[in-house]
Amino acid sequence: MAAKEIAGGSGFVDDGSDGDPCPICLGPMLQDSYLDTCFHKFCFSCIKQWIKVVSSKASKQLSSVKCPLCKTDNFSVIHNYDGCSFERHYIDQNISDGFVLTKEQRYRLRCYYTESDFVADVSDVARFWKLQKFLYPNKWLEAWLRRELQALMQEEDVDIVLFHLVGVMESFCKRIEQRRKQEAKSAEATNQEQFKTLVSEAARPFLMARTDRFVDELELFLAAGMNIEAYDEIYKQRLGWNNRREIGAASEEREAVEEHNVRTRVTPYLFISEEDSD
Amino acid sequence: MQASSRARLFKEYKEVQREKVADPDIQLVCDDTNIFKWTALIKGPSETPYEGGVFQLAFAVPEHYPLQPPQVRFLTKIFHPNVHFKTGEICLDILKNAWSPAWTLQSVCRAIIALMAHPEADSPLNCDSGNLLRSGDVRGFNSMARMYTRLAAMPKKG
Repeated sequence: MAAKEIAGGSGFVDDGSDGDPCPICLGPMLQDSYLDTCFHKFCFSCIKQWIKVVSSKASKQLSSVKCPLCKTDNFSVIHNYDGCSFERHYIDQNISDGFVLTKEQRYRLRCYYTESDFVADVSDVARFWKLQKFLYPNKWLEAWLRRELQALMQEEDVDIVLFHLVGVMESFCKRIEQRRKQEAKSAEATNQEQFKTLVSEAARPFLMARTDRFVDELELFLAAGMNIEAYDEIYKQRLGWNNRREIGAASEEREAVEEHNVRTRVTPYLFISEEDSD
Repeated sequence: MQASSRARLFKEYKEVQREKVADPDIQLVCDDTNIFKWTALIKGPSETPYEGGVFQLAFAVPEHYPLQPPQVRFLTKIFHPNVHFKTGEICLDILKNAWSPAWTLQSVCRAIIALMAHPEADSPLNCDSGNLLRSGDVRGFNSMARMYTRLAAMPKKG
């Protein structure tokens, strides 16, 4: 209440702590969550307790619960949302809680809300295409793709999409290889374009609006030529996320270790694609 | 567990202090020594045989409140189909199956006032009262209810 009074009038709305108390505990909303149909908000632990009470009285497994405020039937509680991901707690416990992102997957998803060019000096994209490095297999690619797809699609089983994309990339490389035997040199610019177009086309039905960024991220990862751990390390360092602002809830132990690391914030970095090769 | 119900009751206590002026029909009082025991004084709704009466309710709040409903009964004798004539027990869905943790002691009082104005004769705890209404003897019901209001819920004259 006090918070509301202080913020009152200024039109300031901070999602999650907008001052409305939880209707169950009447206290400030902790770990706010909302029901999937009527969108009424409660503390996650409060509504979970209530669901437990209702379920314990029912003779069989419930699939929905009535909202304590409006009695609308709801099938799940949405919680732990941060603007790019959320978790879903189903009333029917036979439906698993769905796929819950790991800390690493959350970090990748968060990356999609940043500018992408800050690792440009790590991943020398131009050189990657010029030296036709894409023809050499990258043994970390599958693991990297899996995590990326899981984060973007918020699904555990991404095998179909994963193998589809890998297949597209492999057949692309094969074609280039064959062409290379015939011609002396193939223009790296067209290779790059072709590659990105092909992968975009293959990924778009699954990733939709995030496809272009995904292909850029894929290119950056491939061009970096690093394993996932090393790449993540640099990526996070550039983002300044290995410090206090680490994503995910339980990162205290990590923070303790990395506390004394130099804090480097992201500075937008303009990447010039024409490398001075001479 | 008790800690959370205690915290919630304390919130309600503060809210009651604030709202006292807003709802003149309900006066909720918490026991001085036990926050799980409350009493309420409610005014009989106008245009009912309970008009002019003041009825006392006793609340016993369970330790799992608000996940469980409070137990409420009339301390003041009342002639109403959904109130047990001897014990004061109340038959009201929101105090049983239809309970929601979003209800408060204050809103329960409002629900009871609404029940006084709209008796549900088909699920009677007081059969005599229910039977009068079900047989269509509204006049008989009203005069009985009125009599008990005068006897039990109004200050004695003289």
